[in-house]
Amino acid sequence: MTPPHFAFSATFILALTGLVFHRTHLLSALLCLEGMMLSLFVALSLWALQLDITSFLASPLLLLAFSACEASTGLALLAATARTHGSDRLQSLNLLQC
Amino acid sequence: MLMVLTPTLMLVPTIWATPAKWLWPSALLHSLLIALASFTWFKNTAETGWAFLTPHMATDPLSSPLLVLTCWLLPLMILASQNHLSSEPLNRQRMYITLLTSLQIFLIMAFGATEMIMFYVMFEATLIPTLFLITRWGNQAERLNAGTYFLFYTLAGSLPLLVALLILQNNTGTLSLLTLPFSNPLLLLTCSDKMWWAGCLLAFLVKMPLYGVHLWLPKAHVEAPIAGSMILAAVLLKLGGYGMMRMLIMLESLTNELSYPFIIFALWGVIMTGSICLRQTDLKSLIAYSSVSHMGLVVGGILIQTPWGFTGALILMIAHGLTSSALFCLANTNYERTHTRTMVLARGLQMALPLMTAWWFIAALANLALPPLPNLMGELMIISSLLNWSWWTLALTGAGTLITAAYSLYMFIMTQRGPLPMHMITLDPSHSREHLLIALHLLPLILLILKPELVWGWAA
Amino acid sequence: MNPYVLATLLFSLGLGTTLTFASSHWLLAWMGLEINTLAIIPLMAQHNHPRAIEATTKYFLTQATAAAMLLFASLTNAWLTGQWDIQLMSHPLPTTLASLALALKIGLAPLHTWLPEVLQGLDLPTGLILSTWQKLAPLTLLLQLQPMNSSLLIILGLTSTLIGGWGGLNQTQLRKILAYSSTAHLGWMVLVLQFAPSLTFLTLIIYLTMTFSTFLTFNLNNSTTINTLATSWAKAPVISSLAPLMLLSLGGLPPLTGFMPKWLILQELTKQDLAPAATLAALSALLSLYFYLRLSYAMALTMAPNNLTGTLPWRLLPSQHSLPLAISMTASLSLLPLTPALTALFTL
Repeated sequence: MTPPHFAFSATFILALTGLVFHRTHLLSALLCLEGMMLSLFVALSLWALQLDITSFLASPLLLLAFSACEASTGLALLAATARTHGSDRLQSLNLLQC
Repeated sequence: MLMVLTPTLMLVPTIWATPAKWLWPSALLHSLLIALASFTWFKNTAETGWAFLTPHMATDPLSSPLLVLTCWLLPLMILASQNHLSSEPLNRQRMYITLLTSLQIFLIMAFGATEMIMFYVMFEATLIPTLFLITRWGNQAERLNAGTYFLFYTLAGSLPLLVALLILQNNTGTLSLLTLPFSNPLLLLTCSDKMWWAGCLLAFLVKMPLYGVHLWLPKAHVEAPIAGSMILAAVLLKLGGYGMMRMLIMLESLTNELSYPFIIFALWGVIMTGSICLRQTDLKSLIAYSSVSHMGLVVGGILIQTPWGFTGALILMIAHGLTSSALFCLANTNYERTHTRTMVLARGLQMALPLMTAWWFIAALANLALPPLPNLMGELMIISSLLNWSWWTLALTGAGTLITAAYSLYMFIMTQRGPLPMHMITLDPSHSREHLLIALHLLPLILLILKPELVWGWAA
Repeated sequence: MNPYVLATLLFSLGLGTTLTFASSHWLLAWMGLEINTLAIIPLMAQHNHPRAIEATTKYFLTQATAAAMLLFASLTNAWLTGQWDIQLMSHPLPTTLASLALALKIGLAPLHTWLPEVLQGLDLPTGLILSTWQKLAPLTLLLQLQPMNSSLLIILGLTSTLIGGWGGLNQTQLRKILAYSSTAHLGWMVLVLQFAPSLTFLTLIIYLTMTFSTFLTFNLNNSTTINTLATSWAKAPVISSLAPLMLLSLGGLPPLTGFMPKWLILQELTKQDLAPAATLAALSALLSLYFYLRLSYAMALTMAPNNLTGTLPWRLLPSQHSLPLAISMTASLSLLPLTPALTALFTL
């Protein structure tokens, strides 16, 4: 495992751990998702740069575009949750539990 | 095969196309014609035993009595249900007869199947119409509980059977009943083979039912409408015995070693369920427990694996099918007049319905296996083959016979003899429909002793 | 919702899934999944209701996490082997990661906990999309990940059938029951995935047919709890008498269609010397059968009290076309005799 590989894997797994175990605010969950996507962005661009595959150089941009869409959807849902539930705490999302 | 199966299939459109006035007579007549046509199955001159071969179905001396019994039961069920459905809307009556017919279709395909897996699928397919009979057309609220018990007991036993059959197919390459007896005997040594043996038989033992896994049967019988009780006691329980006789061919070497506890359990069950009958207050429940007790004897006869055991089991199955179905019909005629199944409330009926008492008498005697009836023949053959296996079984079977006699007489005396209670003096007289119904049960039973080779099975 | 917006959303929903179908490249497959998720989110949140929003949020979080994990798995694969092709995934670590991510996406136990809650928050047509169309893209990916860690898939499959059965037992909400039934059926599909992928495909198609007719029946009756099922006879008597058969078919009783996939899967498992797993899976189907049986008791096998308001829907015309329901109902009841034709049709 090369150092860059370790670095982005560690970043991703840390962000995933944050998402899974730190469930207080929706905003922090979204930030963790963004962290995951950023680590993936870094990984993808480093991979393309390292192997000098020119046809792959556009792919990090595609990934970034999608993650931006995802982030904006997440923020829209944040706003919607704040309007319907009154806060962005994940604890308050309990209407559907049984 | 198709000579009977196709008319049975076409009975369904007949039921839906017949005008309302002729619905019950035409359904009865057509099913009776089918039953008469099914008598041709008795004529089996084939050297291999397999006759009426089609690509997927055939009859042999083992299956033809059960097939004919199935066909014979449909007109009787239609005859028996006529009264209690008369207040239902027309479409529901048609639906009900369709349900009964579908049950017969599945049963014919189950008994006629030459492929084990086809037998299995049809064995399971009978569950749905029976479940609907119990839970949709039963009377009390407990019927849902009874339906759940029925479905889950049977399925919990039979799903391992499916896996066991698929394993057998992987090992032998075939599941055809025509070729399986000629395939190489399986080498069954390991512990997993023993599990496989149990998986093969458990489904049928639950269906029989063996004492210990019988709890679904009294519930189902008590809650089911009359047609449901009749078909359940007469034919559906026999699926278990039939399946066991078919499976045992493949399980040859292991059965000798493993069947010991099951035989003991079955015989112990004869005594236990007989004793339960002795202190039963509910008439239908008593008849249901007496079915369990008789079926225990059948299980013993089958697991002993001698020709006499098999023959006795088959004879007892047929005779018990007719007898218990007749008893359920009689219980239903009481129920339709007195609206109770409790024997203390409906007693002394000889005063009110004297001819019915004659039928009760014959049916009770048939249940306790009186000499000229095939019931006795079956029981004697099973008891003597068990005696040949071990002397000690005589204690169990002898006591069982005694208890059977005791509870049959208890049932007869309790319901028929004694003074008529004052709350029951305004009973409807019995209809000739009901007399015909019981006569059609008991006449074949009496006639069978004149030509018992029809139900001898393989021994003939 | 504005019809143009709706058309766009439905179009992108289809686009995402077909993109995943067509791709052999992980990045493209991931993009398809993302388009798919992003397109269904406005559909889910279209009723501005706390429960719908909550369901959407939960769906979004799980799907985004699963998609990110999938991409992480494929990137790890690319770093380790330099390969982006879906079918050429050879290293065990990324393969396991990818299959876990896909399990999260379709809701296999033990990663299923989002599914009942999300489905509970949606209306029935959207729930239908969620439990049928949305399963297709991840399952095609799962089908293409051929040589995989075998015990992982068997454990996933068995826990799914068991938990899918157990979870539904104490539910009174139809949509939660359907969610657990979906988990149980997906468990069956995954159980046989590595031995006979074409069987997984056949099971999927039959599950989709049966779920389609179940959702349409419930939608026709406008019912979301077991209680409201009891008056369904007044709305559509014939359907309410067929519905128990359909539910038992979903539970896998012969001679109905639902028995066919179970039968074939058990046969395949016994061929692979997995008889204990086969028995366990078969017995776990009983757990699911129990709640289907309870639904059918409520729907057709007991008589609801005939009060006057209960008979009112009798006079109204149903708001739904009956043709799709009729076709799918017929298919979900009586396909068992066609087993050989269907197995021949759905070979991969």
